[in-house]
Amino acid sequence: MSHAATLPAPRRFVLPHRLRAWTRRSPLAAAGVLLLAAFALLAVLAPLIMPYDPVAADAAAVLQAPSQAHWFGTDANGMDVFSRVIFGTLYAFAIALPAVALAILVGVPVGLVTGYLGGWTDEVLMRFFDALRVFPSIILALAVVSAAGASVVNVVLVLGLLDAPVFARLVRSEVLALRSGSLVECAVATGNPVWRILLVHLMPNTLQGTLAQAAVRASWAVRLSTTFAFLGLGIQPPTPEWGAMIRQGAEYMVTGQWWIGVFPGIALILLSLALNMTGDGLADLLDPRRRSAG
Amino acid sequence: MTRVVAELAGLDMRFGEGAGAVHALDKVDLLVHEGEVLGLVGESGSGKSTLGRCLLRLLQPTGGRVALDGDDITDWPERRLRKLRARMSMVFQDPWSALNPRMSIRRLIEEPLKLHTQLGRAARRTEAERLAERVHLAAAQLDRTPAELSGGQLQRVCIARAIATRPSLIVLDEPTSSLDLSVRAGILDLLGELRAETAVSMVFITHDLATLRLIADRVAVLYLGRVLEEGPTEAVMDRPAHPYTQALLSAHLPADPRERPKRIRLEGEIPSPLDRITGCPFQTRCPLVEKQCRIGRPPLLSAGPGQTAACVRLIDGSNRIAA
Repeated sequence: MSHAATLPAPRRFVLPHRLRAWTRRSPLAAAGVLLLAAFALLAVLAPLIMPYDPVAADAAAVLQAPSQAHWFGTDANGMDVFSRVIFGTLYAFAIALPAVALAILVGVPVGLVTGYLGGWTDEVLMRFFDALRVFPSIILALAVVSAAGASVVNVVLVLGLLDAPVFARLVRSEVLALRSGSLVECAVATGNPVWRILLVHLMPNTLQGTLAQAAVRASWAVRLSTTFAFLGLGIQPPTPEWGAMIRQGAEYMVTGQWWIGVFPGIALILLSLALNMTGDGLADLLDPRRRSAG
Repeated sequence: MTRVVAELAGLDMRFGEGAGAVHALDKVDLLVHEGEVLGLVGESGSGKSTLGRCLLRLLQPTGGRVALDGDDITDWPERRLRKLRARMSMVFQDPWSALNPRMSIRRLIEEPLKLHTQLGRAARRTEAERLAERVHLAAAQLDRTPAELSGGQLQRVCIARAIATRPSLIVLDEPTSSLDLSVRAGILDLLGELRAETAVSMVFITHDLATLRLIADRVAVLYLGRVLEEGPTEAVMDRPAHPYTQALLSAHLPADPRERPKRIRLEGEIPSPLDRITGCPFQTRCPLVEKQCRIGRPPLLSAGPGQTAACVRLIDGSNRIAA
């Protein structure tokens, strides 16, 4: 056809240059980000897209297998599993994000200061953190949560404080690596005050590791918080929280109602996978020394 | 004589304590005059970098005095030194690790202005552009990050930062040894231009004698934390008085390939900096060593106009190694 050439070319969605290069370099990470974005969207839009009220019991529709009406089936109370899984995303984020934020808020300054100052400050804080790490985190968290009371706020506090040493160690080791070069000495020679060395010269250079780690630790926080709920600590059924749902579903596994526990389980695996893949991708993307190569 | 900008008097620097202490600098006296380039040469471990850092009070010496522009800054706390850092700056050997990789070149050059001047945002911007031009950096490079520049360009950024506050003293710690040979000449030319235009004094630390001949007015030769010889570059290069300087210079190939290099081969070991040396530090390797060298610390003796060397054999003129 001669006039075919005059037709405008279809508009294609073009990613910005660097994003595209990164997508090509690490497709897995890009998939992780996409999946994470989908979950975030799901959490935000949950009230709009849920077909049923996640806590509305329906005695007429108890333990129904997945069907057109109930995509993921219904549980022992006749609640729609699909709606509950979607709403559970909100809980997963609501616990993991503040927990990781708290861990960063506590861990990063500690890592910066101990790495920069060294000496006894470093010794004391790092030995304290080492002592914390000796205990298996689940046992420690369980002990604290059961002692302090199993509220959502307590779970967030425990997860955040328990995870702070991870960020402190990470930042401290990056600061030590930067100190071994001339970055700090050059900043001192230029006349930088200490706060500026910490916040302008050291902190931004540890950011990449921190962000990547944040995604990975968020995945840990999601899994641990669902573990708490699974063990009956913190959030209690019938609240639509994945861990609580999996616990409830476990009881029906043997009698064949697999959908109650399996669907929230899959959601949990996917979210934690998405966070891990995002973390790996971020570590790669945010390395300033690689920018010219990208 | 011109004004003295920086002065080291009886400077001592030990790292560690007791038997494990490393004696990096041993009673060093040194003057840096206004507008001169003083070359500090020595092998690795001779204490030349430590000396540069003591001069800028990046290190606190364990003994002796450091003075800048007449102020005794030996015991100044860092808080007080911070304001003084506008008057002294440093260029590091490895510009890749010295410059913050997250800052743009513009921000890096503006940093000393931000820290030490009252200039507003717009004025800083103009001044940074002027400085970039001064060190022959293209304006387009101001908006890049260090990762996007070459080693030579990064070293120009470091020099722009070092001259930004118009200091009276710049210490350059092997500024060209991490660069390609082709880039080196450009940096040395730039330093030469700056010396001609301003009254800034430079202390140029290097192990490369050929570089010193190009840039330095005066040379101080360091060995195991002591100044063994000091004097005008020409004099020290052409008529080295100390046997160590003679050996050091003979290790360099002559410019004319037909000329047979007269190499002085040194026997013996360099003493460990952990040892406490009595007498001359070069006694273990010196071909001219005699009994007296092992007894007292050799005083700096005159070896020509403005030239001194710490060798007892200067007294009777038997300090030349026969090649």
